[in-house]
Amino acid sequence: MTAPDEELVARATAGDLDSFNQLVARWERPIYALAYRTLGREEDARDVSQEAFMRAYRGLKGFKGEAKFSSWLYRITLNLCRDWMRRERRAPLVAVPEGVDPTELADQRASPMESVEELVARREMSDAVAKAMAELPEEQRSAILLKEYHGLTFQEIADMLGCPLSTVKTRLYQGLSVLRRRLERRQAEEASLRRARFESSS
Amino acid sequence: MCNERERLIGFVYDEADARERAAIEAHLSECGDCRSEIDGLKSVRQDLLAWSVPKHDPVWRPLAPPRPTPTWRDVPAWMLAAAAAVVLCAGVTGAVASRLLLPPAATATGAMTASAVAGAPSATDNAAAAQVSITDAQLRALEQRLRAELRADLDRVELLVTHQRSQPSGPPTLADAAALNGLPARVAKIEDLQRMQLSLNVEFDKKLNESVSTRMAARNDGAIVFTNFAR
Repeated sequence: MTAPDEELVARATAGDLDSFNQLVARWERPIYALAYRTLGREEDARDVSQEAFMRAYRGLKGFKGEAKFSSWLYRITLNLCRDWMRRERRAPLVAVPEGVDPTELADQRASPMESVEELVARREMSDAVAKAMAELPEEQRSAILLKEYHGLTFQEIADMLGCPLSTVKTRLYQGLSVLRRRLERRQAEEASLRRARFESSS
Repeated sequence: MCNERERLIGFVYDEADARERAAIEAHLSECGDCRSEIDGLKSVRQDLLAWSVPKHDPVWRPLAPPRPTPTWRDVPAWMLAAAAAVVLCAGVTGAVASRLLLPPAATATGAMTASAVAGAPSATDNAAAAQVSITDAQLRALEQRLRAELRADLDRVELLVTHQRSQPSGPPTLADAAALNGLPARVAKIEDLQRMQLSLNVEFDKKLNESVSTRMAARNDGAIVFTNFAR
Protein backbone atom coordinates (compact mmCIF):
# COMPACT_ATOMS: atom_id res chain seq x y z
CA MET A 1 0.00 0.00 0.00
CA THR A 2 1.68 3.24 -1.12
CA ALA A 3 1.36 6.29 1.06
CA PRO A 4 0.10 9.60 -0.39
CA ASP A 5 2.54 12.44 -1.01
CA GLU A 6 1.44 14.40 2.08
CA GLU A 7 2.25 11.48 4.35
CA LEU A 8 5.64 10.83 2.77
CA VAL A 9 6.47 14.53 2.97
CA ALA A 10 5.59 14.61 6.67
CA ARG A 11 7.78 11.59 7.37
CA ALA A 12 10.64 12.91 5.26
CA THR A 13 10.49 16.26 7.03
CA ALA A 14 10.77 14.38 10.32
CA GLY A 15 13.99 12.79 9.06
CA ASP A 16 12.84 9.57 7.41
CA LEU A 17 15.19 9.28 4.44
CA ASP A 18 13.36 6.33 2.96
CA SER A 19 10.19 8.39 2.64
CA PHE A 20 12.06 11.00 0.64
CA ASN A 21 13.52 8.26 -1.55
CA GLN A 22 9.97 7.05 -2.21
CA LEU A 23 8.88 10.56 -3.19
CA VAL A 24 11.76 10.81 -5.64
CA ALA A 25 10.98 7.39 -7.11
CA ARG A 26 7.40 8.53 -7.66
CA TRP A 27 8.23 11.86 -9.31
CA GLU A 28 11.55 11.23 -10.99
CA ARG A 29 10.17 10.45 -14.45
CA PRO A 30 7.72 13.38 -14.69
CA ILE A 31 10.37 15.82 -13.46
CA TYR A 32 12.91 14.49 -15.93
CA ALA A 33 10.30 14.66 -18.72
CA LEU A 34 9.52 18.31 -17.92
CA ALA A 35 13.19 19.23 -17.85
CA TYR A 36 13.90 17.31 -21.06
CA ARG A 37 11.04 18.89 -23.01
CA THR A 38 12.00 22.33 -21.72
CA LEU A 39 15.73 22.12 -22.35
CA GLY A 40 15.92 19.64 -25.22
CA ARG A 41 19.06 17.74 -24.09
CA GLU A 42 19.25 14.59 -21.99
CA GLU A 43 22.33 15.52 -20.00
CA ASP A 44 20.95 18.97 -19.19
CA ALA A 45 17.67 17.40 -18.13
CA ARG A 46 19.57 14.99 -15.91
CA ASP A 47 21.53 17.74 -14.20
CA VAL A 48 18.47 19.88 -13.64
CA SER A 49 16.45 16.93 -12.32
CA GLN A 50 19.13 16.04 -9.79
CA GLU A 51 19.39 19.64 -8.67
CA ALA A 52 15.61 19.89 -8.36
CA PHE A 53 15.49 16.92 -5.97
CA MET A 54 18.46 18.23 -4.02
CA ARG A 55 16.70 21.56 -3.55
CA ALA A 56 13.51 19.80 -2.57
CA TYR A 57 15.37 17.79 0.03
CA ARG A 58 17.09 20.83 1.46
CA GLY A 59 13.90 22.88 1.38
CA LEU A 60 11.59 20.27 2.93
CA LYS A 61 11.36 22.02 6.25
CA GLY A 62 10.28 25.21 4.52
CA PHE A 63 7.61 23.45 2.46
CA LYS A 64 4.42 24.32 4.26
CA GLY A 65 2.11 22.07 2.26
CA GLU A 66 -0.12 24.88 0.97
CA ALA A 67 0.34 23.59 -2.55
CA LYS A 68 0.77 20.02 -3.74
CA PHE A 69 4.24 18.57 -3.36
CA SER A 70 4.29 17.82 -7.10
CA SER A 71 3.43 21.43 -7.96
CA TRP A 72 6.26 22.58 -5.73
CA LEU A 73 8.63 20.20 -7.51
CA TYR A 74 7.46 21.35 -10.93
CA ARG A 75 8.02 24.97 -10.01
CA ILE A 76 11.52 24.25 -8.73
CA THR A 77 12.25 22.44 -12.00
CA LEU A 78 10.90 25.22 -14.23
CA ASN A 79 12.89 27.83 -12.31
CA LEU A 80 16.05 25.75 -12.66
CA CYS A 81 15.39 25.35 -16.39
CA ARG A 82 14.93 29.09 -16.75
CA ASP A 83 18.18 29.76 -14.91
CA TRP A 84 19.90 27.13 -17.02
CA MET A 85 18.81 28.71 -20.29
CA ARG A 86 19.76 32.19 -19.12
CA ARG A 87 23.17 30.92 -18.05
CA GLU A 88 23.68 29.10 -21.31
CA ARG A 89 22.30 32.12 -23.20
CA ARG A 90 20.47 30.00 -25.64
CA ALA A 91 17.04 28.71 -26.49
CA PRO A 92 16.38 25.03 -25.94
CA LEU A 93 18.12 22.76 -28.41
CA VAL A 94 16.35 20.18 -30.45
CA ALA A 95 18.39 17.18 -31.58
CA VAL A 96 16.67 16.38 -34.86
CA PRO A 97 18.29 13.49 -36.72
CA GLU A 98 18.78 13.88 -40.45
CA GLY A 99 17.02 10.66 -41.18
CA VAL A 100 15.41 7.89 -39.21
CA ASP A 101 16.95 4.46 -39.63
CA PRO A 102 14.07 1.96 -39.57
CA THR A 103 16.30 -0.89 -38.43
CA GLU A 104 17.32 1.02 -35.31
CA LEU A 105 13.73 1.72 -34.46
CA ALA A 106 12.60 -1.88 -34.66
CA ASP A 107 12.82 -2.32 -30.88
CA GLN A 108 10.99 0.93 -30.09
CA ARG A 109 7.51 -0.05 -31.17
CA ALA A 110 4.73 1.13 -28.92
CA SER A 111 3.01 -2.22 -29.35
CA PRO A 112 3.68 -5.44 -31.27
CA MET A 113 0.97 -4.36 -33.70
CA GLU A 114 2.77 -1.18 -34.65
CA SER A 115 4.48 -1.46 -37.98
CA VAL A 116 7.92 -0.08 -38.63
CA GLU A 117 6.39 2.53 -40.92
CA GLU A 118 4.08 3.68 -38.15
CA LEU A 119 6.99 3.80 -35.74
CA VAL A 120 9.03 5.88 -38.16
CA ALA A 121 6.10 8.23 -38.66
CA ARG A 122 5.71 8.58 -34.89
CA ARG A 123 9.40 9.35 -34.45
CA GLU A 124 9.29 11.94 -37.19
CA MET A 125 6.24 13.56 -35.65
CA SER A 126 7.95 13.57 -32.25
CA ASP A 127 10.89 15.42 -33.74
CA ALA A 128 8.63 17.85 -35.55
CA VAL A 129 6.72 18.65 -32.38
CA ALA A 130 9.97 19.13 -30.45
CA LYS A 131 11.21 21.55 -33.10
CA ALA A 132 7.97 23.51 -33.17
CA MET A 133 7.74 23.70 -29.36
CA ALA A 134 11.32 24.95 -29.14
CA GLU A 135 10.32 27.94 -31.28
CA LEU A 136 7.48 29.01 -28.97
CA PRO A 137 7.94 31.79 -26.39
CA GLU A 138 8.82 30.41 -22.97
CA GLU A 139 5.48 31.28 -21.31
CA GLN A 140 3.42 29.52 -23.97
CA ARG A 141 5.74 26.50 -24.01
CA SER A 142 5.60 26.11 -20.19
CA ALA A 143 1.81 26.34 -20.13
CA ILE A 144 1.44 23.71 -22.85
CA LEU A 145 3.98 21.37 -21.22
CA LEU A 146 2.26 21.54 -17.85
CA LYS A 147 -1.21 21.10 -19.35
CA GLU A 148 -0.52 18.49 -22.05
CA TYR A 149 2.13 16.29 -20.45
CA HIS A 150 1.52 16.71 -16.73
CA GLY A 151 -2.24 17.12 -16.52
CA LEU A 152 -2.29 20.22 -14.32
CA THR A 153 -5.51 22.25 -14.16
CA PHE A 154 -5.70 25.87 -15.33
CA GLN A 155 -5.75 27.02 -11.71
CA GLU A 156 -2.72 24.92 -10.73
CA ILE A 157 -0.75 26.33 -13.67
CA ALA A 158 -1.83 29.85 -12.76
CA ASP A 159 -0.69 29.36 -9.17
CA MET A 160 2.59 27.85 -10.27
CA LEU A 161 3.44 30.51 -12.84
CA GLY A 162 2.06 33.31 -10.71
CA CYS A 163 -0.36 34.68 -13.29
CA PRO A 164 -4.17 35.05 -13.63
CA LEU A 165 -6.34 32.17 -14.83
CA SER A 166 -7.32 34.05 -17.99
CA THR A 167 -3.63 34.53 -18.86
CA VAL A 168 -3.06 30.76 -18.67
CA LYS A 169 -5.97 30.16 -21.06
CA THR A 170 -4.68 32.81 -23.47
CA ARG A 171 -1.17 31.38 -23.49
CA LEU A 172 -2.54 27.90 -24.12
CA TYR A 173 -4.75 29.02 -26.95
CA GLN A 174 -2.08 31.10 -28.67
CA GLY A 175 0.60 28.43 -28.25
CA LEU A 176 -1.60 25.66 -29.61
CA SER A 177 -2.64 27.83 -32.54
CA VAL A 178 0.99 28.51 -33.51
CA LEU A 179 1.85 24.84 -33.18
CA ARG A 180 -1.12 23.89 -35.30
CA ARG A 181 -0.10 26.21 -38.11
CA ARG A 182 3.52 25.02 -38.08
CA LEU A 183 2.66 21.34 -37.98
CA GLU A 184 0.04 21.71 -40.71
CA ARG A 185 2.59 23.56 -42.82
CA ARG A 186 5.14 20.81 -42.30
CA GLN A 187 2.63 18.13 -43.18
CA ALA A 188 1.69 20.03 -46.31
CA GLU A 189 5.35 20.32 -47.30
CA GLU A 190 5.92 16.63 -46.81
CA ALA A 191 2.82 15.77 -48.75
CA SER A 192 4.00 17.89 -51.69
CA LEU A 193 7.45 16.29 -51.50
CA ARG A 194 5.94 12.82 -51.63
CA ARG A 195 3.81 13.86 -54.60
CA ALA A 196 6.85 15.27 -56.38
CA ARG A 197 8.81 12.04 -55.81
CA PHE A 198 5.90 9.97 -56.99
CA GLU A 199 5.44 12.04 -60.12
CA SER A 200 9.16 12.09 -60.93
CA SER A 201 9.48 8.32 -60.55
CA SER A 202 6.49 7.51 -62.77
CA MET B 1 -13.38 36.08 -37.04
CA CYS B 2 -15.35 34.78 -34.09
CA ASN B 3 -14.75 36.38 -30.69
CA GLU B 4 -15.41 33.18 -28.84
CA ARG B 5 -12.15 31.51 -29.82
CA GLU B 6 -10.32 31.75 -26.50
CA ARG B 7 -13.32 30.47 -24.59
CA LEU B 8 -12.95 27.26 -26.55
CA ILE B 9 -9.85 26.24 -24.62
CA GLY B 10 -11.89 25.37 -21.52
CA PHE B 11 -14.13 23.28 -23.74
CA VAL B 12 -11.20 21.56 -25.46
CA TYR B 13 -9.59 20.65 -22.10
CA ASP B 14 -12.90 19.76 -20.47
CA GLU B 15 -12.49 22.32 -17.70
CA ALA B 16 -15.53 24.41 -18.42
CA ASP B 17 -18.30 24.26 -15.79
CA ALA B 18 -21.74 23.04 -16.80
CA ARG B 19 -23.13 26.50 -17.62
CA GLU B 20 -20.12 27.49 -19.72
CA ARG B 21 -20.16 24.16 -21.54
CA ALA B 22 -23.81 24.55 -22.48
CA ALA B 23 -23.18 28.03 -23.80
CA ILE B 24 -20.27 26.91 -25.98
CA GLU B 25 -22.16 23.92 -27.34
CA ALA B 26 -24.97 26.23 -28.28
CA HIS B 27 -22.49 28.53 -30.07
CA LEU B 28 -20.79 25.65 -31.89
CA SER B 29 -24.10 24.57 -33.35
CA GLU B 30 -24.23 27.94 -35.10
CA CYS B 31 -20.55 28.81 -35.83
CA GLY B 32 -18.64 26.84 -38.46
CA ASP B 33 -15.39 28.71 -37.78
CA CYS B 34 -15.43 27.68 -34.16
CA ARG B 35 -16.24 24.10 -35.05
CA SER B 36 -13.23 24.13 -37.37
CA GLU B 37 -11.13 25.68 -34.64
CA ILE B 38 -12.15 22.99 -32.16
CA ASP B 39 -11.19 20.29 -34.67
CA GLY B 40 -7.84 21.95 -35.31
CA LEU B 41 -7.04 22.20 -31.59
CA LYS B 42 -7.97 18.56 -31.02
CA SER B 43 -5.78 17.55 -33.96
CA VAL B 44 -2.69 19.37 -32.67
CA ARG B 45 -3.23 17.86 -29.22
CA GLN B 46 -3.10 14.46 -30.89
CA ASP B 47 0.18 15.40 -32.57
CA LEU B 48 1.61 16.54 -29.24
CA LEU B 49 1.10 13.05 -27.84
CA ALA B 50 3.79 11.81 -30.26
CA TRP B 51 6.52 13.82 -28.51
CA SER B 52 8.26 11.15 -26.44
CA VAL B 53 10.96 11.36 -23.79
CA PRO B 54 13.95 9.02 -24.18
CA LYS B 55 14.48 6.30 -21.59
CA HIS B 56 17.02 7.29 -18.97
CA ASP B 57 18.92 5.90 -16.01
CA PRO B 58 17.74 7.01 -12.58
CA VAL B 59 18.89 10.52 -11.79
CA TRP B 60 18.84 9.99 -8.05
CA ARG B 61 20.84 7.70 -5.79
CA PRO B 62 18.64 6.85 -2.79
CA LEU B 63 19.72 8.51 0.43
CA ALA B 64 20.96 6.21 3.17
CA PRO B 65 21.37 7.02 6.84
CA PRO B 66 25.01 7.25 8.04
CA ARG B 67 26.36 4.14 9.76
CA PRO B 68 26.59 4.74 13.49
CA THR B 69 30.13 4.50 14.93
CA PRO B 70 29.99 2.38 18.11
CA THR B 71 31.55 4.01 21.15
CA TRP B 72 32.17 2.82 24.65
CA ARG B 73 28.81 4.29 25.60
CA ASP B 74 27.12 1.62 23.48
CA VAL B 75 28.75 -1.21 25.48
CA PRO B 76 26.80 -2.39 28.54
CA ALA B 77 28.44 -1.77 31.91
CA TRP B 78 28.59 -5.47 32.77
CA MET B 79 30.50 -6.15 29.55
CA LEU B 80 32.97 -3.38 30.31
CA ALA B 81 33.57 -4.82 33.78
CA ALA B 82 34.01 -8.37 32.45
CA ALA B 83 36.44 -7.19 29.79
CA ALA B 84 38.39 -5.23 32.38
CA ALA B 85 38.62 -8.35 34.55
CA VAL B 86 39.92 -10.36 31.59
CA VAL B 87 42.61 -7.76 30.82
CA LEU B 88 43.59 -7.59 34.46
CA CYS B 89 43.76 -11.38 34.85
CA ALA B 90 45.71 -11.74 31.62
CA GLY B 91 48.15 -9.15 32.85
CA VAL B 92 48.40 -10.75 36.26
CA THR B 93 48.79 -14.23 34.78
CA GLY B 94 51.51 -12.98 32.51
CA ALA B 95 53.20 -11.28 35.41
CA VAL B 96 52.95 -14.40 37.53
CA ALA B 97 54.12 -16.75 34.78
CA SER B 98 57.07 -14.57 33.95
CA ARG B 99 57.91 -14.05 37.62
CA LEU B 100 58.02 -17.81 37.87
CA LEU B 101 61.06 -17.98 35.65
CA LEU B 102 62.55 -14.54 36.10
CA PRO B 103 65.42 -14.19 38.52
CA PRO B 104 64.22 -12.37 41.67
CA ALA B 105 66.18 -9.20 40.86
CA ALA B 106 64.50 -8.78 37.48
CA THR B 107 61.07 -9.32 38.98
CA ALA B 108 61.66 -6.56 41.52
CA THR B 109 62.87 -4.24 38.75
CA GLY B 110 59.72 -4.95 36.71
CA ALA B 111 57.48 -4.22 39.66
CA MET B 112 59.28 -0.98 40.42
CA THR B 113 58.95 0.19 36.81
CA ALA B 114 55.23 -0.47 36.78
CA SER B 115 54.55 1.31 40.04
CA ALA B 116 56.76 4.26 39.04
CA VAL B 117 54.72 4.76 35.85
CA ALA B 118 51.35 4.23 37.49
CA GLY B 119 52.06 6.70 40.26
CA ALA B 120 50.66 6.20 43.75
CA PRO B 121 49.18 2.75 44.17
CA SER B 122 45.44 2.80 43.97
CA ALA B 123 42.91 0.36 45.39
CA THR B 124 43.01 -1.52 42.08
CA ASP B 125 46.80 -1.81 42.28
CA ASN B 126 46.66 -3.17 45.83
CA ALA B 127 44.00 -5.69 44.90
CA ALA B 128 46.15 -6.83 41.97
CA ALA B 129 49.17 -7.09 44.22
CA ALA B 130 47.20 -9.14 46.73
CA GLN B 131 46.16 -11.49 43.93
CA VAL B 132 49.81 -11.83 42.83
CA SER B 133 51.01 -12.61 46.36
CA ILE B 134 48.39 -15.33 46.84
CA THR B 135 49.43 -17.36 43.77
CA ASP B 136 53.08 -16.37 44.08
CA ALA B 137 53.57 -18.53 47.18
CA GLN B 138 52.36 -21.60 45.37
CA LEU B 139 54.32 -20.87 42.23
CA ARG B 140 57.45 -20.14 44.24
CA ALA B 141 57.33 -23.74 45.37
CA LEU B 142 57.16 -24.86 41.76
CA GLU B 143 60.02 -22.55 40.92
CA GLN B 144 62.13 -24.16 43.68
CA ARG B 145 61.47 -27.61 42.30
CA LEU B 146 62.45 -26.65 38.77
CA ARG B 147 65.63 -24.99 40.00
CA ALA B 148 66.49 -28.16 41.91
CA GLU B 149 66.04 -30.28 38.79
CA LEU B 150 68.17 -27.94 36.72
CA ARG B 151 70.87 -27.95 39.39
CA ALA B 152 70.83 -31.72 39.42
CA ASP B 153 71.27 -31.80 35.63
CA LEU B 154 74.13 -29.36 35.74
CA ASP B 155 75.79 -31.36 38.52
CA ARG B 156 75.51 -34.51 36.48
CA VAL B 157 77.13 -32.84 33.48
CA GLU B 158 79.96 -31.49 35.64
CA LEU B 159 80.47 -34.91 37.16
CA LEU B 160 80.62 -36.47 33.73
CA VAL B 161 83.18 -34.00 32.47
CA THR B 162 85.34 -34.48 35.58
CA HIS B 163 85.09 -38.23 35.24
CA GLN B 164 86.06 -38.08 31.60
CA ARG B 165 89.08 -35.93 32.33
CA SER B 166 90.24 -38.30 35.10
CA GLN B 167 90.09 -41.38 32.91
CA PRO B 168 92.87 -42.41 30.51
CA SER B 169 91.86 -41.73 26.95
CA GLY B 170 89.93 -44.62 25.63
CA PRO B 171 86.58 -45.52 24.35
CA PRO B 172 83.65 -44.45 26.54
CA THR B 173 82.52 -47.16 28.94
CA LEU B 174 79.04 -48.41 29.63
CA ALA B 175 78.94 -46.30 32.78
CA ASP B 176 79.76 -43.22 30.75
CA ALA B 177 76.99 -44.09 28.35
CA ALA B 178 74.51 -44.45 31.19
CA ALA B 179 75.50 -41.06 32.62
CA LEU B 180 75.26 -39.48 29.24
CA ASN B 181 71.95 -41.12 28.56
CA GLY B 182 69.12 -38.63 28.77
CA LEU B 183 71.46 -35.64 28.83
CA PRO B 184 70.45 -34.28 25.39
CA ALA B 185 66.82 -34.41 26.49
CA ARG B 186 67.69 -32.52 29.64
CA VAL B 187 69.53 -29.86 27.65
CA ALA B 188 66.59 -29.55 25.26
CA LYS B 189 64.26 -29.11 28.24
CA ILE B 190 66.46 -26.33 29.60
CA GLU B 191 66.39 -24.61 26.22
CA ASP B 192 62.57 -24.91 26.08
CA LEU B 193 62.25 -23.38 29.51
CA GLN B 194 64.48 -20.52 28.50
CA ARG B 195 62.39 -19.88 25.36
CA MET B 196 59.19 -19.92 27.41
CA GLN B 197 60.70 -17.51 29.87
CA LEU B 198 61.62 -15.08 27.10
CA SER B 199 58.14 -15.11 25.49
CA LEU B 200 56.40 -14.75 28.83
CA ASN B 201 58.60 -11.77 29.64
CA VAL B 202 57.51 -10.12 26.41
CA GLU B 203 53.84 -10.94 27.05
CA PHE B 204 54.00 -9.67 30.61
CA ASP B 205 55.53 -6.36 29.56
CA LYS B 206 52.88 -5.91 26.87
CA LYS B 207 49.94 -6.56 29.20
CA LEU B 208 51.45 -4.38 31.87
CA ASN B 209 51.82 -1.48 29.45
CA GLU B 210 48.24 -1.87 28.24
CA SER B 211 46.89 -1.91 31.76
CA VAL B 212 48.96 1.12 32.75
CA SER B 213 47.99 3.18 29.71
CA THR B 214 44.32 2.36 30.33
CA ARG B 215 44.47 3.63 33.87
CA MET B 216 46.43 6.70 32.72
CA ALA B 217 43.72 7.49 30.16
CA ALA B 218 41.06 7.12 32.86
CA ARG B 219 42.84 9.56 35.08
CA ASN B 220 43.31 12.05 32.23
CA ASP B 221 39.72 11.94 31.00
CA GLY B 222 38.04 11.58 34.33
CA ALA B 223 36.11 8.63 32.88
CA ILE B 224 36.82 5.01 32.14
CA VAL B 225 37.91 4.61 28.56
CA PHE B 226 38.71 1.10 27.46
CA THR B 227 40.22 1.79 24.08
CA ASN B 228 40.33 -1.89 23.24
CA PHE B 229 36.53 -2.06 23.16
CA ALA B 230 35.77 1.08 21.19
CA ARG B 231 36.09 -0.63 17.81
